[in-house]
Amino acid sequence: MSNVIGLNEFAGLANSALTCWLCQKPASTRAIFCHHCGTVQPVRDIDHFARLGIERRIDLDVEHLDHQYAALSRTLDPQRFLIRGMGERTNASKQLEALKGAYEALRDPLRRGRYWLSLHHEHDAAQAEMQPMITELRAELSTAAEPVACDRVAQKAGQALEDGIMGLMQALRGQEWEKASSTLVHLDWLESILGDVRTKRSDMTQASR
Amino acid sequence: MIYLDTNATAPMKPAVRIAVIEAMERWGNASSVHRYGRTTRRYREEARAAVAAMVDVKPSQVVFTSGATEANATILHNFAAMPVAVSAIEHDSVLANASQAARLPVTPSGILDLMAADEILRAMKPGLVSVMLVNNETGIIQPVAELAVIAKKYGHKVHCDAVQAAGRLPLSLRELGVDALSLSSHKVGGPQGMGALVVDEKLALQPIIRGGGQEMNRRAGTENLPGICGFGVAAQLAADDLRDATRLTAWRNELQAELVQAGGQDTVVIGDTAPRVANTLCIAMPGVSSETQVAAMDLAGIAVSAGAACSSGKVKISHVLRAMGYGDDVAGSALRLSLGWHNKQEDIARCVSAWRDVYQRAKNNQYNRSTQAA
Repeated sequence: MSNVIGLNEFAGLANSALTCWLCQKPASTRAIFCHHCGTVQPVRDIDHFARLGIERRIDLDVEHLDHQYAALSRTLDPQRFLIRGMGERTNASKQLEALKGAYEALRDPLRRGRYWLSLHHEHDAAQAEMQPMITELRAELSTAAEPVACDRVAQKAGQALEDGIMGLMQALRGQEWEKASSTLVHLDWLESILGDVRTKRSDMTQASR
Repeated sequence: MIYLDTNATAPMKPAVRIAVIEAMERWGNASSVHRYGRTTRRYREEARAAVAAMVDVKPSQVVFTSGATEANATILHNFAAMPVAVSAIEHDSVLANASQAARLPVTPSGILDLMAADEILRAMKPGLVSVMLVNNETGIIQPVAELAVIAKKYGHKVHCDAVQAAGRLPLSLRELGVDALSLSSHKVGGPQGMGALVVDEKLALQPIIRGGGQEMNRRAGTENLPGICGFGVAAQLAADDLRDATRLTAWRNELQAELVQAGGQDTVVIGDTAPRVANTLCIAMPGVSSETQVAAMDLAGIAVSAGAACSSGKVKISHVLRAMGYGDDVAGSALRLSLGWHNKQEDIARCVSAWRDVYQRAKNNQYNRSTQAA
């Protein structure tokens, strides 16, 4: 019977060097569970897209990503592994952690852009030049004496960040890796400015109390 | 032999087989108070939790049945005294249990016609609407969540036959907005003769099989422990099937492109403009009956189906394709190829090669017949 429909053969597993940690039978890099004995497998080195079982593309369907994450994380709910052995509990918890990491990296457009670029291009932040806008915003922030002035900087930086993410996505879709790389550096600076705004504003609020 | 008929039944996964065998070696009635009963009950509940996790519900919402047919029959019998509407492309297990039901049409692309559904449901007194999430013949994904919003507006309960969606789409009873959902174990690599009806907590389900308090008085009869344990493992492993969808999509698309190239303009791909699950391809070769194709492919070592697999094994013209507006030339020559966890990439090339031979022979026969007639 097994020869008729290939019950003992798994797609992509026949040549795989990986084996299940428990039953030692062939295991797929993609599999969460061993299809021979059903135990949770250790986290393997696969890309975020494969971990979530979604198509590898920069403009992914976020709703589908959410659904996949929800369904896969339910399967790895620690409550369901309480009565299992330590090895399986540890694997389930690490699988869940890896899944969450992959989800968060893909859910956020900026992090996804950074990840996508890392998959396709060697990103060198040191080579990117600081744009005048960053210098202007930094100067404006350093002279801001009131919370409202900080908010103005935050608003400008926020808008620039939003526009920058759109530009980044366009560059990534068009495979303009150098442009995407410099946009990413620009976005990093904008994020750093937003962080500084938050700190300064918080200091101002505390000082006024 | 290459098996491309996963939508009829998926080969049982080895871990499932082990779970079934282990369960057969245990005895004890889950209703018994003693240790044997308690052990059995623990295994049953572990499996219930796995099935519940697959569809995002509490374990208490899962009622184990003998299969999806019983699950469908149970929910439809619960609404036997009320108006019922079902889609025109439902599985026979729904249609046969709702012969008087209003039929919700589908568009030529195979998707439920939501505007027509709105009109029909508005005119209907509150009752039940039953629509499948993924069609078994075409793999087309139906807008069940959108339909549920419409149905709720008019006070209807909604049931979804999600048999072909399990392991292919992430499932959530809550997000679909339905009151009940049918599942089948053997479509996700579990044992045959096992299924579940998943119900909303507020739905007071009456059993159609009486004579015991099992399944919280919702389905009488001593539980099929081997089936339940196997289903539980299969439900858990279905997470890996979800992860596999991208690979299957690529293979299915390759298969589709190759078959269209081999068949040329004669071939009709059914549902290619609609959202489909990754594993299913429904393709017609007008002029060659489905029955002939299935038999010829079987001789060539490829197991495929002509659409819905009937209990008798006979091939009948698809009511699904008819509902989509196809004539008998297309509906009578359609082939369903459905991939699964067990397939390998080389299966695609072998299937294409076999289909090309079948097509060529059919063309030659047609040519010979026409020259003889001339």
